[in-house]
Amino acid sequence: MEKTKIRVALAGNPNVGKSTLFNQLTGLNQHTGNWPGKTVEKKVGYVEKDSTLIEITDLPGTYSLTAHSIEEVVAREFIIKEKPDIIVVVLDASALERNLYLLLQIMELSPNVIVALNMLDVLKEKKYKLDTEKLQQKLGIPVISTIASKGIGIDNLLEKIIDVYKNKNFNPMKIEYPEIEDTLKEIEALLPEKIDEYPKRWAAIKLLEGDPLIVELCKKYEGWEEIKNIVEEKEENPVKVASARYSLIKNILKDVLEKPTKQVITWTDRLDNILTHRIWGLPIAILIIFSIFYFTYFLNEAISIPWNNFLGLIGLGLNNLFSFLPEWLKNLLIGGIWQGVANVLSFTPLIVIFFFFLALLEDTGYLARLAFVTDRIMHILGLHGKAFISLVMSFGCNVPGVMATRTLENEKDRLLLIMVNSFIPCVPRILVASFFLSIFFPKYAPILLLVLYLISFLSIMISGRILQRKVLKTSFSPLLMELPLYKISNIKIVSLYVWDKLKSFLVRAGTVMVILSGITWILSHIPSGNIENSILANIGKTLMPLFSPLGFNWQLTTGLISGFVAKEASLSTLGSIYGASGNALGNLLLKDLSPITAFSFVVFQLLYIPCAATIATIYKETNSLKWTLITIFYSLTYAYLFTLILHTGITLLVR
Amino acid sequence: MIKSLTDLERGEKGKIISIKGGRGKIFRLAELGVNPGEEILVVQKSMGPVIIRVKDTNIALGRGLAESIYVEVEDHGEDQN
Repeated sequence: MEKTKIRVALAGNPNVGKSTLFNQLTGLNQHTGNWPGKTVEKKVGYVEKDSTLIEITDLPGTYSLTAHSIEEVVAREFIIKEKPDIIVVVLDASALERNLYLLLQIMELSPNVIVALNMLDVLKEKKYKLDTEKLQQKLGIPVISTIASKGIGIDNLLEKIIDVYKNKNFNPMKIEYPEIEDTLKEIEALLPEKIDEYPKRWAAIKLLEGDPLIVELCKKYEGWEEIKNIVEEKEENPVKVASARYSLIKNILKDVLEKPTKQVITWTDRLDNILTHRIWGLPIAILIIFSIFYFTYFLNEAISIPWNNFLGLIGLGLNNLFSFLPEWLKNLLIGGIWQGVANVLSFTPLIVIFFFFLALLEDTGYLARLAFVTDRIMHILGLHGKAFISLVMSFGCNVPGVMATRTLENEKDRLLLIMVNSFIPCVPRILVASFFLSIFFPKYAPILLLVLYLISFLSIMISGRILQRKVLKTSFSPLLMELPLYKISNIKIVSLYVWDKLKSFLVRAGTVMVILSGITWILSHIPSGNIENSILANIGKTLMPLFSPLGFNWQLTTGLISGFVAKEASLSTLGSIYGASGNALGNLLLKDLSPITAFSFVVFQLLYIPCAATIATIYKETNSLKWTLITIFYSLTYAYLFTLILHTGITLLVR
Repeated sequence: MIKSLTDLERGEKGKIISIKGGRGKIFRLAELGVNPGEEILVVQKSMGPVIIRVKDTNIALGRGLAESIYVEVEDHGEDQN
């Protein structure tokens, strides 16, 4: 017998436990990708019940279905174009008023809607009384109570999905808005029968809301001029739609939801009294971030030594395994390609730990508070609070930093943040810097290191302004976000999240590193096997005139080229060129370079280009070759000009 | 008395009277329930953003955004804390 397949879409506001419900429904039987052509994550999972296969697509969490953000567009296009059999809308029972806003819009698009009423425990804590039976009657669609975090109600929900799929016989509430009904009728009368795949009434509402995508679509119709007059007659039309929805919601909730006269102080309120406190909020946030850094450092130290030893052993093993190959090929495989893979793998513990903490911050609800308390400081950099966590993570490694920009809704904000992210010095860059500083300025190294961090903040400030005005032509949108309730983190969700991120990091960075390490190895070994007259060195020598205004010799220039593959590789390349490492390399450099040149080099390598793994991540996150190239071009130009001014300035000052 | 949202003290309640700004911004706020006529409570204030409670949800608003929201406060409500 052929199995029935039911296609279900899971919708809901952010922070209502939708992801938890999705994970409870599908377990590990899910895969993550991107929506076609979009940078929004798409999750699809499967579950089997009574010989029925249920395919669940997790729509992005949204408050509405307007075209405010890509998430909202993705969600509504899926509902309209892919026509899922059933839409499950997850509602936060403790904030029903706002949650019903999305439900109404979804009910306007499809009759086969099921409500999963979540967070009933919070409702209880707030001492609200909700008549679920009555709510179901009024809405005319099934309402299933769930506690997603504990897996309660999952079976009921699955049964209801199958039931509704088979007997589509219920009678959903007719959604009418007395306040705007006349205007809607007028617009509907002017629209053709078919507007692509959009229902006519829905399109009329969207036009009244001023939805840019639907407006664009309807411009071609005959009645457009008249529609335009109706829509634009009153400035407040969009707000009127929102008000009309909310007054309908008030009607629905009348004698369904009863609130106590005095609001109960919840756990979230108590915690927020301290964690978002106007004086204590920021010090606590700094303390938390420092602890995270401390633990990351501590754990990474503990894990990375045995881990790197293990990687070394594998390298040796591979060396023996491939001993039958000709020497050059073996060296290419081990010294080039495997070294690149090992490089990526050696970063893995750091990435895992970082993502673990990010997931924890997000899942507990603290991340939003962090954005709140840091908002003011971030304004100095021309950004807002939501950018904070991304920049913090970049101090460890730019890759998770760039990946963390997903917490921003606005696409242009995200682009800007991605571009300035690469000015945050990651650990490898600081390692290279420390090496130079300790050789050339042993007494002042700590102060100069601090200067480097200041240069990096300054660069973010300058670049933020330049990029906003000249390139993106927009300013960072103001902070506007919900503060979700605090909750105890679910280890299953956190692990799934970390695993997801790790997988995508390994695949992406791994591929890039294999290819680039291979290429760099070849370039530095042919024609003679001696790096000094290799192609790589020749490229360095050719480019040198460009870099001599900064004081760099060809050795430094060559180092910078391999530093593009991985920042710390610039040191090892310099090592092979000078035929020395550690202190010996230091002494040779001391003879060859002036302190001013050394400092300029340190500054340049701090700013000049994101490493290959980061660039691959930027490409994935922006989904655009253009923006990836702009990022590269911008950071190169900026670093060059900045270092040039610095180098010339100091040289003049000293003389 | 009508005040800008940023002039309200922590714990003070008020009713939104008007919001200054472009169509898109006002509609976005309206969808989140920050709409003229709505009762709000200032949950937290800082030198920068403000947290308000509206429709059972706490929402953080950047300083500029909060400044553009005008609220009516009952005059005698100020001495209670």
